Amino acid sequence: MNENEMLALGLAEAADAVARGEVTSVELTQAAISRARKLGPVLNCFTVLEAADALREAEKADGERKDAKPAGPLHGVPLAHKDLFYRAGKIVACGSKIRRDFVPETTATVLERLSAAGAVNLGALHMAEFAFSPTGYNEHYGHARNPWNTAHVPGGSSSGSGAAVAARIVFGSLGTDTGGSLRHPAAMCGLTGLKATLTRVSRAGVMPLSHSLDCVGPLARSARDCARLMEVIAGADRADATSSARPVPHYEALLEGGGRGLRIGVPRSYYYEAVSAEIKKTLDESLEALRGIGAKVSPVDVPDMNLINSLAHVLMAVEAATLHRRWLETRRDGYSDQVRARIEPGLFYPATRYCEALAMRASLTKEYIDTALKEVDVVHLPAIPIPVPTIEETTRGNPADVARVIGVVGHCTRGINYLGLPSISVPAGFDAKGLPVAFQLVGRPFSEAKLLRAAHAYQQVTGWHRRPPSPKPDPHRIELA
Amino acid sequence: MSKSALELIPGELQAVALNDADVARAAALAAPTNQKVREAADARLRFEDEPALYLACLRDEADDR
Repeated sequence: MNENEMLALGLAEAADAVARGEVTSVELTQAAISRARKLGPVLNCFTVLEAADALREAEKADGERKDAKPAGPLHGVPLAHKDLFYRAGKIVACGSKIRRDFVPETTATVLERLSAAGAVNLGALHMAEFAFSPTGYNEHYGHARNPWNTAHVPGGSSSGSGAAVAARIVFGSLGTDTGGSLRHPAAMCGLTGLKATLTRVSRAGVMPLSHSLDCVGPLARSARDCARLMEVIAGADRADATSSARPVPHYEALLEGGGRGLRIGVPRSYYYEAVSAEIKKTLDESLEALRGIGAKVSPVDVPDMNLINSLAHVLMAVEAATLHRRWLETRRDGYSDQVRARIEPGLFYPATRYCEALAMRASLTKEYIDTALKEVDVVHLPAIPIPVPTIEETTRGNPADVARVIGVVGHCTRGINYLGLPSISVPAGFDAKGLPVAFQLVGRPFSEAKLLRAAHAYQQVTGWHRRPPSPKPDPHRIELA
Repeated sequence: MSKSALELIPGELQAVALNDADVARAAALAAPTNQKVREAADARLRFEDEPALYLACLRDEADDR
């Protein structure tokens, strides 16, 4: 296999090819490093590329395979992750100026689990400052760019993860999702991204934004790839007392079964209020494809999402302001204006409002399940209601217009974090400018297996997830080859 | 709050001086949804609601087939 053929493989395909001896980990890693050197600077997606360490890990993986030692499900596969997962002894800056020299003493549980499963670490990926932007905005280190068109945002806050996986530099990546930070880059970069149920994946060793809302999840090319990553990272963790002790299903083994009998709900209100016509058309086509594989689609009601979004905002703002208060006092200039303006309101909310937002969570989650999910298995929603915006649209011009664009990006995602429900973002086609469009499927708590199965069934008949960013004679298009 | 409970709080925290600009800034930062949220929340919040029920709700409503 040449470099392009190797990097065109999905994560599970690459791991299986290594297991069968069709390709070595060193070959895969060298190909990934080569592309990272070529495209990393164009996309601004790596904060650090650890080529020498990665090659050493790959050589070790190949040696273990040669010696017929037991191999994990990610044996020899190069990955890289958002720069907020702690790795002992390595700088983890969280996209910030304030933490640019921070060296943790511990390693995130999820990174340890990936290593134990055999993954090779290629480095750390760029992100929005302190995970605070749905577009990937980072004033300090520049914006990561969308591989489908570098004038556009890749989505955030896991911006580097979206860009690096979409550009076929790495086979998968972990991101975090507090209001859509994993689903936004998945949707905008044409990838599959799974925000798991709150408590499903350990958050030990992950720089928090808002502990009531933060979730860790996989971002990869397909539902199968996400299933393989989820099976490795999910499960109870003694280092994270909030992690669920519920057994982890064999997600990949549960993928088959197709879409026959799947009951899909489409909300009557709220979600489509901000959807543009061309996104609506693609979403309708995705529903038609789902009907084509035997799913039954019906309209459903949803609770007051404006209230739910506002309560999510209170939790996020107050918890973030609590974490950042000391730096807001002592290192105020270390923040970009846009990020500081998002954190500061949390200093002003009354404690009673915060407690109220926590207190209402059970009843509102139950209400969502009893209305939206009462008669269906999953709810089908837009991922992003508008076409992928340009970097310019989200940074320059009339501040009100910029705020509106940034605000609408999270219209369909942020409320799901308040409810703590799992959601998967699935590529569904392209807009008029050739940028990806996606839908979300939201399910009951711990229904990740069902979401992955539904997404997998859809991906078997559509193939949008297999398309790489296409080289075209456009200054903003990248060439993978 | 009872007088005895108030006495446990340092005096400087009992009377935080906020000038008009600070108050206006706080109000502006909390807008524009705050009033609507307040009304909706006021209409829904029950005495029995408490945060610990949330994790139980996730457990009880689980679907991991």
